[in-house]
Amino acid sequence: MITNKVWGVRLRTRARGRALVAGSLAGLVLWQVLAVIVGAVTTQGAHVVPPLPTIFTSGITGLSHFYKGGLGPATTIEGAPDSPGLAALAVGQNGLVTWGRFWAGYLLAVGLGLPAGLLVAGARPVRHAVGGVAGLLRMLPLLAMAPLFTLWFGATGRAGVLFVTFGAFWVVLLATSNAVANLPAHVTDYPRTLGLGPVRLRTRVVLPAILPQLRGALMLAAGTAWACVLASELYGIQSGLGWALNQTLVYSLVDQMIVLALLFAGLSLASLRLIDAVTGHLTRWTE
Amino acid sequence: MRTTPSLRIAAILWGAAGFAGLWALWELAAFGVANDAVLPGPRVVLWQFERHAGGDRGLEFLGVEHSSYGINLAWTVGTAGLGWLIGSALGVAAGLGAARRQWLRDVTEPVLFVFGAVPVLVVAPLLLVWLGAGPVGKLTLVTFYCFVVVAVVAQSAALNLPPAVEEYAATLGLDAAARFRAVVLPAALPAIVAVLRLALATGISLQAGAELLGPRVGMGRLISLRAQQGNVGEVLSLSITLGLVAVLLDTAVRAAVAPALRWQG
Amino acid sequence: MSRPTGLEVRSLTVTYGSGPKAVTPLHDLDLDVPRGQFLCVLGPSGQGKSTLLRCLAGLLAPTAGTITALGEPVTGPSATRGMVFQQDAIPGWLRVADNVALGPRNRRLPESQWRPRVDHFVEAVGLRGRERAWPRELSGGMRKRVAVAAVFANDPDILLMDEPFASLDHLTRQGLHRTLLTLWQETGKTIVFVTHDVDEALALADRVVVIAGGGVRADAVVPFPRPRTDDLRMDATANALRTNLLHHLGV
Ligand SMILES: Nc1ncnc2c1ncn2[C@@H]1O[C@H](COP(=O)(O)OP(=O)(O)O)[C@@H](O)[C@H]1O
Ligand SMILES: [Mg+2]
Repeated sequence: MITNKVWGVRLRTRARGRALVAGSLAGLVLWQVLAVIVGAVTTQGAHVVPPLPTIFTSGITGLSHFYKGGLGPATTIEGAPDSPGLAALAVGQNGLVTWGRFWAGYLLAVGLGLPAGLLVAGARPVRHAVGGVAGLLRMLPLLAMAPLFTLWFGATGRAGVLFVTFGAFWVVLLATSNAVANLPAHVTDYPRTLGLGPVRLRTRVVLPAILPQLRGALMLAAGTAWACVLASELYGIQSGLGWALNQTLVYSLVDQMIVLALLFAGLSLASLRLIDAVTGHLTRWTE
Repeated sequence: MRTTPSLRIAAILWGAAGFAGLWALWELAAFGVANDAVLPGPRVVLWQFERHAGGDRGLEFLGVEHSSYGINLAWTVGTAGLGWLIGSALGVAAGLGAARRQWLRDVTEPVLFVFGAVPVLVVAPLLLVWLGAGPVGKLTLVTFYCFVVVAVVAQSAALNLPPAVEEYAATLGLDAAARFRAVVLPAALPAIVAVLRLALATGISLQAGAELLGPRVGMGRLISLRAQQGNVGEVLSLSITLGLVAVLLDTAVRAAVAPALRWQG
Repeated sequence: MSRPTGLEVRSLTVTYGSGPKAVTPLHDLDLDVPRGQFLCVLGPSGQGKSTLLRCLAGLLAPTAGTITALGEPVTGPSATRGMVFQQDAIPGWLRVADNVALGPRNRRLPESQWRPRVDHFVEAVGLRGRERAWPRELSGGMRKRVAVAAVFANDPDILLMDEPFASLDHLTRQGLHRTLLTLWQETGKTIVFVTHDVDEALALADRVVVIAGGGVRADAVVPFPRPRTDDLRMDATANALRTNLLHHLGV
């Protein structure tokens, strides 16, 4: 019998940096090729798939008119020409607003959701009662409900923040109460024998013990929060990167749209990295 | 965790009590606000539902061809469901394949790395901006979203299989194909089911959210029109109806796969 | 009766890693295991016992040297060489009977051929009546019984066992020893059983080899008749052998 089997079960792949770089380059090249082809075939093409050089020039300087003034230089409405400096101011001004809305809404959701989850998990009946309700609320078409918050709180930053909180709160609450429910009894039995009271037991023992399980949920909540920030800025609020994005959509400024989208994605990724690093630091004892 | 029948009944009863409590709280809040235009109580919303679920001539004057809930629900859930089916099928195949074949991993890695499990939720609305508000754009959006989240989870689930389990199967004489079928697939199933459920709920939400941007049909379209009219009760009625349908679908998915997950207890 | 060689290991060398961090647990190791023998491999922790067994199973390619099983060169895993792992490796999503049938069913053998064997080994390891139980519903010892039944039901020629019972309590382990010996005597398979416990080796083996420093340090026949009981602890020859083996283990 001839066997030409391979030793072992060598069937696990790994991420390779080379492939990542090659793939990203291929993506850029593909885009440029598409831009050239679409641009040659149609008259409007350059607007749908702008070539890379356009994105890196007018796509950036064009952002100048999202600068609303108040920081020194004159705005484009006051007659100033588009410039990289003004574009940077515009991005800084709107990015900061968006960044602030995200953190305010997200931290509020975590600050409310964590204690609420710990409380809810304390008694089985409450857990079932709240779990069912939270399960339904979590399934609501969240992104489509952005207009509701604008109706309630006006087209203001406050509406945006509360919408973000509403979106992320249920994720944190459900994850917390599930994590506590799944905690093995021995984790709390021993500290209880040491005479820890209910509050200290929750803050000193239960919270650290469930944190590793919560990491994924905190990331998911952050992702949800970013989607909510974007949704609220796209529909109604008159400031922030999402608002600028909506303007580029309305006026079909695809080159600026792409730059804004990249900025938005970069901002959200930075916050996700930060949350990952912080929760990783807090749970470093697990590894 | 074992659940006895009496515990399960208690869970259902307490769950029902939770909804009753929500109803009472909402009623109370509405009573306190005392303005149906700002916060209508649950009975007002229910009344709105009864009045408009079958259709509303008023909306038809605003250019909505079909204003009944049924048609719009079918459109929104149907489109989202189709995107979910296509995206998830591709995602499971790509994720599991990429866990086993390096060349496939090399191809999918850039996409999955850039969009990841969570960032795609952020990028998805941006994608819509680029793809445009047409039905195909939205279908692409939901499909792409489901593809990415499902692929990421399927891949890591397949990679997280303890090596000893697959080695054990190999020493029983199972070749790579048999091991994939008999070991890798079932081991990855619980994680895949969990992400499929998440993707379905989020997919419906994405679809409805995308419909705010002005197509002709869909629950999102109705919501945005009602919001423009300042009709909070109708916005709530539409949102809750869509949410309940999502819960129903989720329950159906869970029930369908329950036998395959019974081993987890 | 001539006993053809079950396993032939020649100049086996395994090196993990490279450069200054390279580790070479096995160096130029030679070992012959006659067909039908119950061999115990003893050795201190970290001396390459698992490495050796993984090479025999075809799960790990040697850096140098050759392995022959029943006259065929080993180049990968095969149904002719079954393995029982130290950790729980049986899939949790298969009920007991399906777990025992895992190998033959997925090798697509006709059911008529393996069904009786599966039933027989489920019964033989004492899991009759628990066929439809999930692994999570079983104790650690019972899960080991499933693993043992599963390899026997797959009908390999050689059984490789890597400290399979190390995590079990004394009584459970003794029960499994009895079961394993019964099955071995019934089927006449070649068994290579790794352990770091001298008493376990003396209770089970025809022959014991001690592995340390990369090669075979001691090779001893265990002459006691079966069934062996705890009285072996009082036996003078057994004590001499035990002392000798412990000496080679560096105790
Ligand atoms: N996959 C591996 N990579 C690197 N070193 C390993 C690996 N597996 C085992 N080793 C090393 O090889 C030596 C022998 O390991 P092992 O065969 O598991 O010993 P034993 O089973 O006798 O305890 C140990 O020093 C161990 O650290
Ligand atoms: Mg070992």
